[in-house]
Amino acid sequence: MSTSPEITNSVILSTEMFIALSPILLLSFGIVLSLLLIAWRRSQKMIALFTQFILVITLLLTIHLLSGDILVGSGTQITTLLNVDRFSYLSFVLICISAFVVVSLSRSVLKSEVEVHDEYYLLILLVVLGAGILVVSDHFASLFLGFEVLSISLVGLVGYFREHEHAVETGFKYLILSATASSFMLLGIAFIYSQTGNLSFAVSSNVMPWSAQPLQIFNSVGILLLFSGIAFKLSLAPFHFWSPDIYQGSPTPITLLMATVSKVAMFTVLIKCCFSQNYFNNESFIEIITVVALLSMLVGNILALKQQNIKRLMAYSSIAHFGYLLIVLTVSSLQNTEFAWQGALFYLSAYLLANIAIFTVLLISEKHRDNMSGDRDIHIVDWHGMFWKNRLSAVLVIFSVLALAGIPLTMGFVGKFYLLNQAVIFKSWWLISGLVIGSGIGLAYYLPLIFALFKDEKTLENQVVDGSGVYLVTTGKQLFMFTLLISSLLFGIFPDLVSQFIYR
Amino acid sequence: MSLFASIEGLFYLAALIAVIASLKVVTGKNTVHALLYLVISLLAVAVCFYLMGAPFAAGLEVIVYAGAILVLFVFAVMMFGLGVDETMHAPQSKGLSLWFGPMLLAALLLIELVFVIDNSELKLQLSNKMVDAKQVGILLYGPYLLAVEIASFLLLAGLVAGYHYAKPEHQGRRL
Repeated sequence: MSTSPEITNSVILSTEMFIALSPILLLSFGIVLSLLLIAWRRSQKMIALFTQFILVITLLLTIHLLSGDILVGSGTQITTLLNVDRFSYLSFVLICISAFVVVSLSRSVLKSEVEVHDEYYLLILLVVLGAGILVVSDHFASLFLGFEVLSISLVGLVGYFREHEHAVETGFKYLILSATASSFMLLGIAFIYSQTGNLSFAVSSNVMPWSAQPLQIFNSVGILLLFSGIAFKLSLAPFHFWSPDIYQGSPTPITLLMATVSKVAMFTVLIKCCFSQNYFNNESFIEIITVVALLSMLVGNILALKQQNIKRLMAYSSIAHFGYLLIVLTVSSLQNTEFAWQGALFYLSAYLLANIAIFTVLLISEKHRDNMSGDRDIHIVDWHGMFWKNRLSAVLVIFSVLALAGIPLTMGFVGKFYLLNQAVIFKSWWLISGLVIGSGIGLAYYLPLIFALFKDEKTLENQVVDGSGVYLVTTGKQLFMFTLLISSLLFGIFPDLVSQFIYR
Repeated sequence: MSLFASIEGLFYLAALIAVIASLKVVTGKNTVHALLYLVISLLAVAVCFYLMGAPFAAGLEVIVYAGAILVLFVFAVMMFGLGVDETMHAPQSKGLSLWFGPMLLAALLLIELVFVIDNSELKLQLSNKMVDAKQVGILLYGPYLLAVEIASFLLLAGLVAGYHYAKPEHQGRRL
């Protein structure tokens, strides 16, 4: 028997597809090259530089593709698995930026530990690859594979420093919980498949002939299970229990990676899946989204109130932020999806910038703390009087916290404005009141964080006497923090710069 | 033809065996006995695949899960030395009674398989809608080529992460 001719002769990847997919192909090629580099010589400096180089090239290539016209319209379909469109590459830009920052910050952490570190950078590249696959996926198979690449490499990273107190516990918790989440998701995908007979996002389950049958319940359960798997990764309210522990237990750059790369990618694929499957026509789905969003806004903000540990505080605040972001899923019709994407991407970039800034300062104070004593966790008390000791990082923290709280003249305000606008268009008064009340509660822990920076306490004087009160910040870090400050100011005052890049 | 002799009847029988065996896995007190039931459960799923006309998936299920992974499980359970916990909390094995259950279920599966292979009419029905290894291969190296590539990166990630956790402590120097 011979294989049918149309299969043997057809080209799997045409040139156009190849160009559209090139950033992700380049990233995969970079992973293979860094494996070769490790095999040739184990040198931390070299692999760090190489990883940064790969990420920058990928970033530039993605931006180049975005400015070209290859991605206009509904995007380029690459086999049945992937679909590259503008919005997915915009979030890939965010992912690359934050991964680049993570790699740059990691160098100072890795210097102080007794380990060989080449795998660390390799795993970061794999996380970015998983995120890249997620954002361009157009098929449940690629969604699942991207999800797994992302989680498995994060499992390797969260417990990377095995001699730390909580390392093994953190890694184990994350492994078990993310495996549970992915098995739920897999079951959900199987249920959806039993209704539609097709795993592609493009085939909507609502228009299928099966949808009228009594077995429709399988479809709803399937969507619910799929959503719960994704909600685990986004640490939305009923699935949030893991996030504070794992934020606290993992190394600070990895916490940043989890808070930004993994969540941005998961949220992008959630939007993509919901919009192309027309889930917004499904009333019960919208109800579930509303309930989860409200719960996340309230639970995240209320649990953050009493938090003294800054990493845990950031974990709870990110629960609340993704609760707000769920508002974009409640679009009323397909015409509004463009606006929803725009709002989501804007909000995500504001969230990303603020998180990068806070975690950078957190890392610097951890480093400072490391020189003095063994305890690694940074509490709000440790930031007391930072304004008088290190003006630049304190101002940066103030701006980012204000952005997270959504005070005018920051990006966070404009992001919240987008969300509010969308909720008003959808006339969802529950979501609007949730957003308002949540932001109100949020102020109650964001503002004390700012006040703490100005507090002048006796301990401060003691530290100055010790000569250890001065923060040691390298010139490179200072320059980086300055850039962050300028960009958060600039984008806060002129949000058009970002939204025009998104909209174009 | 009676219900039990049709493909559907046999499928539901195998599925029932899978469910019973899985329940015994999670309710069992003794780890190794639970693993025996897990083998049965996976074999029953393999029979289900076979009856749905996917002998390739059935073969993979047996080779990969019932064969390789379960051996690893048993190996790990024996190596970790749960000895003390096991003898304190688990019931002692009393002769043949403990492996009678798995044996019975496995024998049922075997009878079912022999029945299908022996019965020419059922065999004909199966071969009509069969998805064989060749078709799977054409799909994997055709439209789903990228999925295979991504899966290879997934394995790489698992390998690197696993290697990192498993390597001996304090290897390497302060950098």
